[in-house]
Amino acid sequence: MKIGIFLCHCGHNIKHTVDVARVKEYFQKFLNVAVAEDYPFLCSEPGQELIRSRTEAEGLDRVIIAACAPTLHQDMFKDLVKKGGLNPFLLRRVSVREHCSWVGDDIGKNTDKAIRLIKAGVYGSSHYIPLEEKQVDVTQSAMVIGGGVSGLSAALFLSNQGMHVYLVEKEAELGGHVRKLRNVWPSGKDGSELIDEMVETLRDRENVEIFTSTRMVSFGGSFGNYEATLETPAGESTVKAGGVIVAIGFAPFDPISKPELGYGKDKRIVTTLELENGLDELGLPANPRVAVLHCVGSRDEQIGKPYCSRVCCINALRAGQTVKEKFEHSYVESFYMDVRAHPKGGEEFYEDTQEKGVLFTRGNVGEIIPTPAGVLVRGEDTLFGELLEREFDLAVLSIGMSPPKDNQYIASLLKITLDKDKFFLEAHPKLRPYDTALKGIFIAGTCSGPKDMEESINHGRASAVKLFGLLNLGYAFVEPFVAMVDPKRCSGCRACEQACVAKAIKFDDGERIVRVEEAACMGCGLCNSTCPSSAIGLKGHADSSINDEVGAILEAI
Amino acid sequence: MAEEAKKDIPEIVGFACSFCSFKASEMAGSLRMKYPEGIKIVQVPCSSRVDPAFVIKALFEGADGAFVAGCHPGDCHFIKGNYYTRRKIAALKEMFKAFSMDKKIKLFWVSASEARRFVEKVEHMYKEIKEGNNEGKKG
Amino acid sequence: MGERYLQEKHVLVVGGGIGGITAALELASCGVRVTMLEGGPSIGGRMIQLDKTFPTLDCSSCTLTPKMVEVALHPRIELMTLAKPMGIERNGKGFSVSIQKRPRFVDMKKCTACGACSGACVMKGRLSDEFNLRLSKRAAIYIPFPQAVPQKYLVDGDGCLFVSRGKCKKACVEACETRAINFDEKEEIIESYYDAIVLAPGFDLYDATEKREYGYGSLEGVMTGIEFERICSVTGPTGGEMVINGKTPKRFYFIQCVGSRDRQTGARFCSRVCCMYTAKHATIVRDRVKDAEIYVSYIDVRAYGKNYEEFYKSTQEGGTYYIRGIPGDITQGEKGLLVRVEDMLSGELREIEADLVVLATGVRPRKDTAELCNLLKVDRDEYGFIRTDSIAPSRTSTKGVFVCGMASGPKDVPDTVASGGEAASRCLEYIGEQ
Repeated sequence: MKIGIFLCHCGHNIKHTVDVARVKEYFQKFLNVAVAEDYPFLCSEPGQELIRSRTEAEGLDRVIIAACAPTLHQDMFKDLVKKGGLNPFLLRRVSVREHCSWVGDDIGKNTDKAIRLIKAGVYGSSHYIPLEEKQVDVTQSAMVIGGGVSGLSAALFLSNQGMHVYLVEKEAELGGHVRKLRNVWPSGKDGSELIDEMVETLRDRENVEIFTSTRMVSFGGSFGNYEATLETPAGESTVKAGGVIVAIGFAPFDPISKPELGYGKDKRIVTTLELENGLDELGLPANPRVAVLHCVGSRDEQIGKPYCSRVCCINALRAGQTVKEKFEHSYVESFYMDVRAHPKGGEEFYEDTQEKGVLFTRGNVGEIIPTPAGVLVRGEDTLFGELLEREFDLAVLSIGMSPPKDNQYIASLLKITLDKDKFFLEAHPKLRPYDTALKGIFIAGTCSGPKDMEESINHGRASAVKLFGLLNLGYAFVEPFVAMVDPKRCSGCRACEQACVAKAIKFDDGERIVRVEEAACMGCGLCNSTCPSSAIGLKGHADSSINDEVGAILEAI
Repeated sequence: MAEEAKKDIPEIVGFACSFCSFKASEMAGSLRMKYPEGIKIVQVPCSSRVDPAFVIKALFEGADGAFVAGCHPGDCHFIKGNYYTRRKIAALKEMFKAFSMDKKIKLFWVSASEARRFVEKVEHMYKEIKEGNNEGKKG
Repeated sequence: MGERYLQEKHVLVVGGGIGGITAALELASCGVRVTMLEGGPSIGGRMIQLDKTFPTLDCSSCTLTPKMVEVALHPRIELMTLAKPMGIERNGKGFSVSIQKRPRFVDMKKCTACGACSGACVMKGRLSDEFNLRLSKRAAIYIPFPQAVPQKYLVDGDGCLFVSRGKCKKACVEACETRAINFDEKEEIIESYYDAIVLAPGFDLYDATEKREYGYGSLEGVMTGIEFERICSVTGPTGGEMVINGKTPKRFYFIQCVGSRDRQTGARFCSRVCCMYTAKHATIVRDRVKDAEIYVSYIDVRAYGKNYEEFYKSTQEGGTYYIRGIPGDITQGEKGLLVRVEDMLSGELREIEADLVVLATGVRPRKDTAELCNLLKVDRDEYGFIRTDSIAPSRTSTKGVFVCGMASGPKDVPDTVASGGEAASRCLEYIGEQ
């Protein structure tokens, strides 16, 4: 083995507190070390040339760069050794700046530490094997589950980019909840018109296959090559997709599970949607008295819905305005906890609603009692700390969003996770709000938590772009740091399969051993440390490599 | 350590995950925070990569202490690797209790930004072990 | 598939905050060439100034820094800092843009970010640090913050004695071992053609000095939320110690809706983030300052996002007092600041003493958004946010120009990320039509 060690001074940064001459001298005499050089700035152009030319000239088979932290300039150094004719995965970085020269002041001690760290690099890298970034072919098609506004948006984008799209909807008709809205806030447009426009465009595209009244019954494969069986009215159908967008929406909260509100027992107690779509049929008097209740099925820990449903305040405001517009002299009172009119234009809408004469009372409504004269709303006024009891002709419930009915089913088929409220769990709440832990599987729209229409469209399209970015080349590179199985050692105990978070380990029934699906492997190494017989190992971080690093650190110098 | 005289300078080997703890140690360096040179870190992709055998190896090769540092529970970049780590290290500590060596093993969570926390944790461990060593000498 | 034709397309992303970063990365990963313009010396935007993000309290920089580095290293993204569009002309379906690039006076190829120059600068510790909202001092040659991308120093032309007055011993040049400092660098104008433009200029915060009754700028111990954010941050002026004017405050008073939902300040709209960042601040204080007394004044608590309500609840349960009502004024009392507020829930007028008052200032369109929109003939709304359509949330009034993030109205981080992706999708559709 021919090892090359390049030590950077980083100007004063390393040289100041590490005796670079002593380090160099130490390694010049070291076994298998062909090159030990120091240089003021390895990242500078002449420094880079030094590494490249020495690697090439000496035919090095390990390069150790002892400089700044490994994340800095990593691609550049990898590129250099590659140009020098060495597999870039045989490069080892040792952080002597961030982990040595900058954290200690004593030159003698720092120099000893630097030697040990570099030695750990030498020993550890001796177990490295040449690796290649693996290229896997991916199917350039996508399955979108759910034909609501979010799924439609995703399908529109993907098909526009030329990708084959399978759109799966369990209902007979596409459009989800938006189709039922007569007046979509804030545009005032008809929901079914918006949906029809989207659906027509999709129907015109040859690369879109729409499956309605269809249920997915099985799902398998890994990133780039997922496979699903669909139960369609015309029989079973199998589709192959590179990635999946789950956009199965939400289930409206069913107010029957709050029996004290009397919903379903009296036709004078309705939801906001029922009011919007059937105000004329309600048979209200000329100057009706209407109560609007916010937060029905939201922010309510007793029924297991501690979260805010995000859209119901606006819906409640709109209900109030709808009544006021039809009945100028009506008495409309809204009962709220906080008015969360946060969307763009929402606050102004709230003010307008107040100006139109809707009264707002901060209160908790405990029960609604139907009487012959009207519906009696009882509760507590939380502003004045008094009990309230008022009679209305109509009570409107602004219901929240509950998780979709098929959440558990889809989650277990796709092996994705639900959050504590049983919506789908995103990979990261801030920066990956529509990704899942599994590559190529996205969650868009309200199935990951309440959202309004604009936010659902954003989600649908944003996740579609991400999926397109993963699939558009027709192939994808996978990090070579994946697990590998030694078939001779594997006893088929399947401990690793259970531990694997990415579901990348599959049991081979024929051979009675496990196999790794490299495209799905995240490279965490959990399987490696779980295996009782060291039969599964993580490339680039082998047991022997880490063990020898530990040994090197503690060895006498 | 080979030389007995150096025994009062504890040697500690730490395993730090690439995404959080190693990043924090990097940042500690960039911020020029100081900690004893006896502390040396081995980078692992995820704290769940740490086989308890590595920790045992470190202690048997003469380290005075070993720690495993990962992302905070729930923050693991590999979704939940650190929960496995927590279980494994707890079991290992339990085992080492039999030899009164459980204090030599530590597990802690440090996020990528918590350079200060990283330094506090390793310094605290270093101090504890140093005191323990000195007491051992007296006894 | 689309790969080949997309490679020939070139999109300009204006703004290097999380919205622009998301849009740029998505576009580039789909095969498009992207040029990102950032007016300042580093990308990262507002988010990188934050200490932690709600509701998970994970640190802002560790989630964002990898994205910033990805932008810098991406083979299809060209990053230009200290740059802004000067002139834009419609050219076919695309745009001819002239970009003004201010000098950095540091050769980015040579600079190793060792910091020797900063230490040698005669202005060291004498100039206000903008990244820390002027709460700390820096030199004339500096790096805006430790994780800056690009990881390169720059010379502040106004602060540097040599650049502004032509007289300095130039110790920085002596100190720099790689000879990276170059005072001959001149402003450049770069002309280029782009097939589409994504605007992500971000936002400003309401100027709290306008609200005289709160004494911001005149009373000691009244600061804004973003300033408080820097105080909490490990990379901030106090290194993350909660120390203000040499003391750790014990009594904290947070006021929400300062410059939001307030006609007097010209903003009827809700800024969408202040309720939650206040809850975050209260939680951080509870964690770091034992026996702290914490009050929050509010109109409505808008904890609408995922796990936000739960976070708000736990903030309350952790011992933060929420008072429904916005204070009338703040004055200097004998034992601290006096906050006068009518508690609408109890109906009483209260006077509460506090050591520190933090104003949750609302969101405003960035000042230069107006200029940018005029260049592009893009419509804005009554407040100056870029006007969009709720069905196509990134589409502006000018074809081929898209917007994401706060520029079209207040958004939190996840919404900004989603809007960045949406803008990328519309942009791809647009350039595909050509």
